[in-house]
Amino acid sequence: MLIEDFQSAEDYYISSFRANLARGVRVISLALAIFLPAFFVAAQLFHIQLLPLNFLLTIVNGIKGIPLSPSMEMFFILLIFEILNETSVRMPKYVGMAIGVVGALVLGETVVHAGIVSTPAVLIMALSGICIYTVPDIVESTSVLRLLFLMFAGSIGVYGIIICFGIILIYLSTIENYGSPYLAPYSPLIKNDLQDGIVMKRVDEMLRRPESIGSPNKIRRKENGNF
Amino acid sequence: METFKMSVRQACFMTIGIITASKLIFMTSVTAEFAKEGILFSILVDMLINAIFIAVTLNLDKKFHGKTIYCVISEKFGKPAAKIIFFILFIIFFLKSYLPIFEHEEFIKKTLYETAPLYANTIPFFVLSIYFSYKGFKGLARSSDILVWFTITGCICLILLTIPNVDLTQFLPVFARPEFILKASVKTALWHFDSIYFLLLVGHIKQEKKSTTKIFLSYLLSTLITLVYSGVIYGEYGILTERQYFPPVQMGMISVALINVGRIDYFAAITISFSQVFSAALPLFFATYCIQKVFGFKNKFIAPVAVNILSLAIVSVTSDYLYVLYEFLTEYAIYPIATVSIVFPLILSLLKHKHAGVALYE
Repeated sequence: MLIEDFQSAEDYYISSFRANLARGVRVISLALAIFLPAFFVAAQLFHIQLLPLNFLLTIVNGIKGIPLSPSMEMFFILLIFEILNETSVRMPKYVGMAIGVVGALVLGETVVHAGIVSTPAVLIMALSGICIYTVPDIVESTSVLRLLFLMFAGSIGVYGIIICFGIILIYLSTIENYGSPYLAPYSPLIKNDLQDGIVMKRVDEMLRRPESIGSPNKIRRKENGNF
Repeated sequence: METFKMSVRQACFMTIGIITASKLIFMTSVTAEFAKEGILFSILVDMLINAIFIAVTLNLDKKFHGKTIYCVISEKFGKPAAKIIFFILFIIFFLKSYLPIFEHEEFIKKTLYETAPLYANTIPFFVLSIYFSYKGFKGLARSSDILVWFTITGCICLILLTIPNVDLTQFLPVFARPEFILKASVKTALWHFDSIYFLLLVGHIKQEKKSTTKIFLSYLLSTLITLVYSGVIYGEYGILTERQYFPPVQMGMISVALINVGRIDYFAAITISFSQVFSAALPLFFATYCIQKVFGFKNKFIAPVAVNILSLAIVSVTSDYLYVLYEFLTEYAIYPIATVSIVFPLILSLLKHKHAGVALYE
C-alpha cells in the first residue's frame, strides 16, 4: 500500500508526536517533489495572477534574457538533474567528488550565470530533487510522475495538473496489491487502519492489526498489555 | 458482470463530495437572478423535494433485495423492455450532462486562463471522463472517499474567507415575493434531480443497517453546505450576486487575508475545480452505464469512448449557444428529466416484487 512507503521502522520507537511530524514532512515533501515544478511552470505560462506580487517581481527579474520558455527551461534542468542522478549511481567512488563539483558549480551556477536558465527554476528543481528522496521507496515512480505533471502543466496549465491528478487518483484507488487496496486506509476508508496512517496513534494504543492486510488474528494486543 | 458494490459510506461521500460540487458555480447566480432575497428558500424547496424522492429511490434497494433496476425490469417486463427503458435513461443522462460540463469548462476558461482555445480545455476533461466511466462503480466509490475531503476543504476555506463580509440584511425582506421563489426553483431545477443517480445505484450499494437513513442524511448535509455557500455569497454581494457567475474566485476577493498574502483563495477554487471535474463527469458515467446495458459491448472501452466523443462533439458545436440551450433544457428537457427522477421511482415502488433469490440478469 502507498501508506507503507511513508512509514518507517523508527516511527514506532520514538514519540508519536515526532513520528507524526516526520510523516507529515514526508507527505508534504512528496507533494512538493511532484507538483512544485509543474505549478511553477503553469503559473509562469498561464496563471500569472496566482503568484504574489513580490515573488512575481523576483521571478520576472530572474527570467530576463532567458532564451528558453519556462517549460523548456524546467525540462532542461530536469534532464541535467536526472543525468547527474544516474551518473552518481553508476560512477566509481573515487570520481564522486569531481562529479559533485561539476554538477554543483559548473552545471548549477555556471548555467545560471550564462543566462541559459533562471535562478528560481534551479531553486525549484533542486528543492524537488531533494524532496523526492524523503520517500526513497517510490523515487522511480515519483520522477516519472514529476515529468508527466510537467508535460501537462506546460501544455495546458493548472487544469492539466488537475486532470492528470484525477486520472492518477482513479487509477491508484482501483488497484490492489495482493488483495489490499493501494490507497488504503483512505480509499476505501478503513477506520481501524487510520491508527497507522499519515497520523499515527501511540504504539500502545494500536490494539488491532490492519484490516486491509487480511491477517487472521485481528488482535495485536489486549488492553492490559498482554498479547 | 460488475460485482463490485459500494459501501453506504462511499455512497454518502459521493453525495457530499461529488453531487454538492455540481451546485457551486452557476447555480447561485441564476437562483439569485430570479429569487433575489428569497435565494435560500428557493434552493431549499428544490433540494427538499429531491430529498423526498431520493428517500423513495433508496427504499427501492430494500424492496428489490439488492437487485439492480435493469435486473428488476428485465424480470418483470423482459429484456427488450429493459433495454428500451435504459436507452431512454441514457438520453436523460446525456441531456443532464450538458449543463455541468459547460459550466465547468466556462469556469476553468474564464477564471484560470486569460486566453485559451476551447479544445485545449475541453479534450482533457473528456479523457478523464472516459477513464472514469471505464473504471465503473469501483472507480466511482473509491474516488468518492478522496473527493469528499477536497469539496469540504474548498467550501470551508471559501466560506471562512467570505464570512467577515456577509451582511444578513441583504436577505430582507423575508418572503416579500414568494412567487419569485417558486419561479427560481423551477428555473434552477436542472441543477437538482439528483435522485436519478440513486436510481441507478440501486443494487450497487451493499445492504447495511439504516443505509437509507445514512444516505438521506448525507443528502441533507449536502443541502446544508449548498445553503451556507449560497447564503454567504448573497450576503456578500446582495443584488449583484446574479453577476457573480464564478463564485469560487469572486467570493473571497475582498478578504483582508488575500490583500496581505496573495490570491490564496485560488487554491480553494482549484480544490473545488477538482471535485467539479468528477461531478461534471458523473452524468456521462451513468449514461455510459446505461448504453453498456443496452448494447452489451464486450469491449468495455467502446461505450465510454462513444458517449464521451458524442458529448465532446455536441459541446464543441454548441459552445456559443449556451443561453439558447439553457432555455431549451429548462422549458422542454426538464419534463423528461423530472419524469425519470420523480415519477419513475414512484412507479417502480408500486411494482410487486416477491423473489429474494439470485438476480437473473445483471
